[in-house]
Amino acid sequence: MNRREVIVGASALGLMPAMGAFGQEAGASLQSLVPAWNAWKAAYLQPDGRIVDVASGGASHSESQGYGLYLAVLFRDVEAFRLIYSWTEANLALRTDGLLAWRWLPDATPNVPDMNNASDGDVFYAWALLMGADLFDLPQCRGRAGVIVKAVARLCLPPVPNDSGRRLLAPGVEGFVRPEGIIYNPSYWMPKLMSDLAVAFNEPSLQRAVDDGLARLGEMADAGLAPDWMMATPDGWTAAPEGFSSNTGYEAMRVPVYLCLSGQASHPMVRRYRTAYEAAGLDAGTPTVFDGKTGEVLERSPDIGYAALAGLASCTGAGGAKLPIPLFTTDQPYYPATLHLFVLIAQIQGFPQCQPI
Amino acid sequence: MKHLWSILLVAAVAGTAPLYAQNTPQGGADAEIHLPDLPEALIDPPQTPAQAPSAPAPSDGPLPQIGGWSRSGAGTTVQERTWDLGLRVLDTSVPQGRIMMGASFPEPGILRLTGEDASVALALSLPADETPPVSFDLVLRSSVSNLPDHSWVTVSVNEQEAGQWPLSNVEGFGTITVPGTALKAGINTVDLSLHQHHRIFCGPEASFDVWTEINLPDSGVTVPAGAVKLTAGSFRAGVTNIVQRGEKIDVRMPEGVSTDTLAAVMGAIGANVSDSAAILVRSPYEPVDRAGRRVGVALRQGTGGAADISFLRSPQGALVMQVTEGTGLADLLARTFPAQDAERDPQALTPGRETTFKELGAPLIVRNTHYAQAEVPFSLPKDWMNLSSQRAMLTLDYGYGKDLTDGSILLVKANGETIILLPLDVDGGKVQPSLRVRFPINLLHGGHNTISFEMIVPGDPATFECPERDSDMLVVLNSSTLNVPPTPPMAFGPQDDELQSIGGEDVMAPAAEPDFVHTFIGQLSLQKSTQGTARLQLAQLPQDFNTLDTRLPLDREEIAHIFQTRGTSAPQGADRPQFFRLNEAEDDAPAQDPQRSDGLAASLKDWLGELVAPEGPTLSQWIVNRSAVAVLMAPTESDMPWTLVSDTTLAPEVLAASFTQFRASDRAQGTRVALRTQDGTWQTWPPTPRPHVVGPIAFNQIFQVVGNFASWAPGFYALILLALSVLSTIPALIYVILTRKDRNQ
Repeated sequence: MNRREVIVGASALGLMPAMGAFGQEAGASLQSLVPAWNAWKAAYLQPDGRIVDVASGGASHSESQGYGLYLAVLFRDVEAFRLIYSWTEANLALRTDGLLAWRWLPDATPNVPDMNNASDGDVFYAWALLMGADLFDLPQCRGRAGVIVKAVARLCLPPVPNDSGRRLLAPGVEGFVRPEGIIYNPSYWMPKLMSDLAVAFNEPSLQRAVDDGLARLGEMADAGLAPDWMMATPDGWTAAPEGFSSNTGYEAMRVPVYLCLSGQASHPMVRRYRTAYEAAGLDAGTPTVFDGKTGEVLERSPDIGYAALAGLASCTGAGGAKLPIPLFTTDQPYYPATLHLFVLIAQIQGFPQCQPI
Repeated sequence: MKHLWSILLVAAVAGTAPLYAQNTPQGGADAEIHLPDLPEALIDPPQTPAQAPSAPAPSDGPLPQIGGWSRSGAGTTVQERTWDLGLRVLDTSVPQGRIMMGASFPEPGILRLTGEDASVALALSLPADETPPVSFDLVLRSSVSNLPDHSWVTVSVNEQEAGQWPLSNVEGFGTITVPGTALKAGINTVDLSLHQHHRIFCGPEASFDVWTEINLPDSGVTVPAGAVKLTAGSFRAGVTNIVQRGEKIDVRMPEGVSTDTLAAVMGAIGANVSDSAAILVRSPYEPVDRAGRRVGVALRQGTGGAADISFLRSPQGALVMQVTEGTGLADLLARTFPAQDAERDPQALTPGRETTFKELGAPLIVRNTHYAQAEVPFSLPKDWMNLSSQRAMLTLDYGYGKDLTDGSILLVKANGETIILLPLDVDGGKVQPSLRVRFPINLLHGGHNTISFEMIVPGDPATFECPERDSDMLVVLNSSTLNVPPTPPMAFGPQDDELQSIGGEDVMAPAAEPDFVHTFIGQLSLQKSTQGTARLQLAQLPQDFNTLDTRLPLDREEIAHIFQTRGTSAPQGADRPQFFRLNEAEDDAPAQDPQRSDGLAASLKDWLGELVAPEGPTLSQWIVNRSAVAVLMAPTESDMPWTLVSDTTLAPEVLAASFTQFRASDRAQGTRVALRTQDGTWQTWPPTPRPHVVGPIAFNQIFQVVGNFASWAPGFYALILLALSVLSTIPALIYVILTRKDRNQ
């Protein structure tokens, strides 16, 4: 795929108009969310730029830093951008390939005991650097984003075994390609961001991963919800190895909001989630883990950000939302609060009729 | 190699530490920011064409750690979402924020019943179409002075006695479980009748020492959230509950929704709740408070179709009324919130007619506490004014118990001023003959007034607990009457621009912050406004400074000075002026320098000043050294609105609530300029506003009009009479001089 093909692919996703003046447009349309963003920063962003996930033992991740930088760009918050970027480069940019180490632990020595990366964190981080470079006039950030994108394209896009030459984004560089197959995490595939990066850095393989990822999600939707983890083997798709969740849980719950943020609200997988959430209801807490085989609700949570995910999925239906999107609050851990903010961004940009209540 | 990179990066970033001091929130490209110096390899991507992804060699080593990382909250207990259906007081006139004998709210949601005998009627709204619960809770605590063996509460549900319990929770709130056999779906009446006995003392002070507090929100029943029907009735009950708790009604209004919609919705809700209700209008994207909400209002922009109202349960559990603007909204609101019967004000007193307490809505008053209070509120027409020394007539039908302690008295008051003191220690044990009490009519004024009773019965002796009584101490029959003569239509200030007539639709604010404007529109729509044409212009400083009307009573410099004065630090030591204000009642008094007031000359000057300017000092004199967080100014020309200027430090909902309380107070009458100070009080100018005739008067009312003016400024009118007397002698003097001249010739 050459550059033109990449651009055509991006256009098909409806992503191109968002590229050039993205920062300005997003900044204006998201103005009403600034109080929520400020509350989010006050709750989870430390003065040194570290985003703390208290529910995970006070850890920080390339994902949380990437999410934070992504939000800083959307809200045109140069100070938050500078803080997050500085801390991340100082503490997670420890790999020789330019990718970020996936986790920083406050009580461990060293703080980064595992140098593996997490490709979703890299994608969010790189996209925010790319946009921040133009928005804040920081050309250095574009170069840094380019290094990450090139590394992702080179190291995290192995061919899917026995699957017509498909390329899917692998979760990380080390350990996911096993002798028996490759382990994938569908919630690491953020179509819009990957597409924008593919165009900006002329990486057709990354765009290919977007297209193939959407196709794979469509196939999965025929059978059920997306699993947290799965494995592609020469014999087909199977459950991920033991220790990796095959249920639709805290990982895969991000799939519908990523699709909505990518202009893919009509994707069959979003419809799957909508049906599942509406059938389960929210009265006893929001479903957070569905059984990978039966679809039975295995776990519910009182954290309101998860209800926002359900509300957004419900909003995509033609007959109007059966589940409402809740008002934002920081009376919840970092992860559901962040997803809650993502939902509100998606709602403002694509679903004005589903105003939070 | 990895370690080398780590060292390089840490060293590079360490050099960026001072950068944290640079703070340019929400800055744009022009903001000067510094970022860590990174190695070339991290910021210089390969310039080669896209490389084909490499296929990493399969690994059979340990599985990646990230796969085992779980965000599961399996340990988190998801509790069933429930609704607390608390109790509420049926009588909305129970005093708030102060303690009185009988029922009062010392703080929102906490009902205190004070005195040896006290009672109150509560309401418990249960979901319709649901089986009533088998019991409900009463969460209460009592004073340590209560003697549990002789103190008890009797609870009746729907007029059926449910039981009697000792008042023994003296160390903190405790729960009484009341059988719910008489409960029914819908609204239930719960009557509490308390008998409280002081364990040591007896007397008026001891009456205040015995009390029981009911925690209304925590009392009642808890039902599954699903049992609360998503209906207008549930919403009304919920709103009433939060208003009694002192919470604000949360209204979410996105950009694009018309302020007319906001006004219409809040007007409909306001017709169903008390005037003390307050709201908070915010964007639906503002974070919700930690405590969450019980009820809320969500306004939605319409799509050109019909309006819609629906009731939803938010994921946080709140009952939300969602209103989509569109055609037919007014009819829809009227159906959803049927207007309360537009009855005549039950407390309205018609001047010139003898009116019984019963006609004023007052019940039979029976008191059995050594200190007792009772009030009979009533209202006179807004344009009723009589400042002269005429008399009103109170005909009192009352009685008191036999053998009350020597020194027992009953004070009868009009608007807090004692009009008669009656002994209760002689000839008791029967209803007394009707007592006609004539009292100065200038103790009354247009609007709300009160006749109150205050009984003091000393202990016998005060140092022992009270003996049990088997007869009532005081009874005031509601056959008692009040007769107030009519007056010509007069008021302090012209009535056509009365503040009370400003409704939500009368608010104008072309440039002010949306939250500020919306909160005012919502708050004023929530209140019941009177007829009138007044409007209110809102402005916020500093952004609206240059748009302020030049015809305002205060010019821009004076307004700016009022706000700047507040911002300056208080002078210390010798520089501090010796000015004092010890209570709110002194607010109207000009800030006086005691040194200057000393001496006969100064007193004479003040007296002469009052003589020639009975309204008090001029505005420019009065405003000197005053500070405020908001300034309210009356129109100076007929086409002008009232103007309220605020700075941005005061929360809109606080100012809106303060404004609505102020305009309902007596102090607002005749005010032309009012300053809202930082401590929440209002200072008004002129201190003694001039009466105005506000309607047609009959010929025989001219003397009453003149009498009002003369009573308002007696010195001034004495001076006029003196001048007229002097003038009247001039013709006689001229005649004498002329005739003597002729004689001399």
